[in-house]
Amino acid sequence: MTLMQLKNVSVIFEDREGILRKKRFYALKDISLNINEGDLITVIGESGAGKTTLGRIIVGLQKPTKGNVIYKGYDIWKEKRKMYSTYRREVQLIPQDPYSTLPFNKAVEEILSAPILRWEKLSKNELKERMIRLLQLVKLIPPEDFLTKYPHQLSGGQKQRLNIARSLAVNPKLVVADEPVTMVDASLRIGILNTLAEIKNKLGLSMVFITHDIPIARYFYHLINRGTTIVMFAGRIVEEGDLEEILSEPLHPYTKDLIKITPSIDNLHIEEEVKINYSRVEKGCPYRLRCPFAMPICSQNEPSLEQYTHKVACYLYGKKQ
Amino acid sequence: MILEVRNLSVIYDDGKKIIKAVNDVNFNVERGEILGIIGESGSGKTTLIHSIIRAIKPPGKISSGKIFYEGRNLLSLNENEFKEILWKEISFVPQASQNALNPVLTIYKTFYYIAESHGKSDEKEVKERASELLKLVGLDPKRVLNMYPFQLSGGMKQRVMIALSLLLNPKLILMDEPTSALDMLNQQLILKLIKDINREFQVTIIYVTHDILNVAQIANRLLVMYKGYVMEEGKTEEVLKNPLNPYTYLLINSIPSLKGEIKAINVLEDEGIYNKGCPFLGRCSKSFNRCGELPEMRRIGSRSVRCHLYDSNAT
Repeated sequence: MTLMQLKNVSVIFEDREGILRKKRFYALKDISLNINEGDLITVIGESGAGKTTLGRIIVGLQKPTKGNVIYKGYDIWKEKRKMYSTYRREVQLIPQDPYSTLPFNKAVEEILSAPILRWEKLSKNELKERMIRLLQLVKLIPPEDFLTKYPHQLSGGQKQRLNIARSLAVNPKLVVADEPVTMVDASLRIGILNTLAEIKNKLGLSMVFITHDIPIARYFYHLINRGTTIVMFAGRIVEEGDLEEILSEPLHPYTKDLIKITPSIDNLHIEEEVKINYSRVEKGCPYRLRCPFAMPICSQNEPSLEQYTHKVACYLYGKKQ
Repeated sequence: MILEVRNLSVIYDDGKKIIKAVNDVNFNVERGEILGIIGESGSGKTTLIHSIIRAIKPPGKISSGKIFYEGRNLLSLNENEFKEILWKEISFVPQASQNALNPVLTIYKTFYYIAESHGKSDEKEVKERASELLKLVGLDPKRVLNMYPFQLSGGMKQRVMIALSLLLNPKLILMDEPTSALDMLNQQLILKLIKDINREFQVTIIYVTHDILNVAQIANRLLVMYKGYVMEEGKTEEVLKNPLNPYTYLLINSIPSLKGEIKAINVLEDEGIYNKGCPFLGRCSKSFNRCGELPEMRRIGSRSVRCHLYDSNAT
């Protein structure tokens, strides 16, 4: 069943150039996405691709300039009264940076009880039980010891686990994990991904997993073993499909370049140069300045996302018959 | 040998509690090599680098040890003698270079002031040298020299910092996490640049990072640190192929592969504080009773490791 739907969502920021001229900048352009119950959506892209803006749209921290955000059949920005509070409760964010997203002057029990008490009336015992269950879920064990600790007494990995517990405190249906292990020490990342996957499977959550790190995305995908992957560039979805298929047969030149520059333990040599160019493209395909296959048409029009072997937005691929 | 670190220990003492940030660290740096120092948060890697450029500030203190640069102990030089070495002989690219540039100076002024402080005040000469270096790191000097730091992207700022570190032709450059704030593409480009600089100018580089895969692409040798101790040292290929210390093994196996089969990886996690014994004790899957004592660094062939598993094979 569809839990959430994005329909042609665009986020436009405006730069002023002089007094009268405005320059429009698409942080997101024409994004459509279906999130089903229990689904895993993996979002891959470099910095500036719009990954975090997409996450903010999904949890409702950013209002789209154009398009609709639909949760359980209701447009949450247009029919705000009906669904908004349920939506805000059921869709939660796991932030990227465990060091700056926890209040330094509050103990773990205060951090966890605040969101619970915002929505529910619980007795002291019920509340404590609930917090202990949460801490067990994220493997902060023994939970009783952690309740009275302050964030500065936790390691980076433990902080991120607490962050996860906090976003689960109000029983969400959909969780957006925005680079959840990027700021965590390398030797602790896998442990956190394992816990996150276990929680997702146990609670039947839908999850949007945002990362720039393809091997991490692949590891997490294999723990869940289902779901759709989107590759983003310059606010657009440029490729969409099954992660393994995208990795073994990447279609979009950007995806190909991204895979080429990703180092792995059995392939350490630095790859041949990939073009770098951060100029904004006003017209045509956003990747054309870096693309080795750019054709005249690429500077005329922008390709739309079309079904080929999987979905891709690129003129190299005609519609598959 | 260009740099020799002997029995270096650094402590932070705030009057109530003493934290041992770097414990009895020994290593050599050969001329012309790239040495990768790997460590996670709290491993003491940044403290170690700061000791070399004498940037440890109170409550931090170098409690023992010597650091020889071309035979002279850096720690016993006086201020003026050391000033002659910094930038000219040894330069430093700090972590988060994004914020290391003075925001109210143009890039040219930044170059100029550093050159001037070392007695080179000919504006034309400095401008020429700066242009040359910016070109080398792939920036357009005409544009960039007159820009302020906020007008540059993260990757460009990192390039400026690297260009700056080359200004006075140093023989040794210390780099602290030079690519960790950058996206994948920029990381790869900066790595390539560092490798090129190393080859072309025969500059020795110490490269500090938390990311083993990142540094393994360019380093000749690796030094793995954990909680202030050196755990393992060896040639890059050998360490990657056959990590001796269980911590190094965990680091390498925590990198999921891009191709082939994916297996779920189990990780032990315990971050308790042990005052005695092996620093990795709480998280080690191979620990046994002897690990309650701190293992010594042992040489095994061309490599060194701190682990009781190798007590009997020691040569």
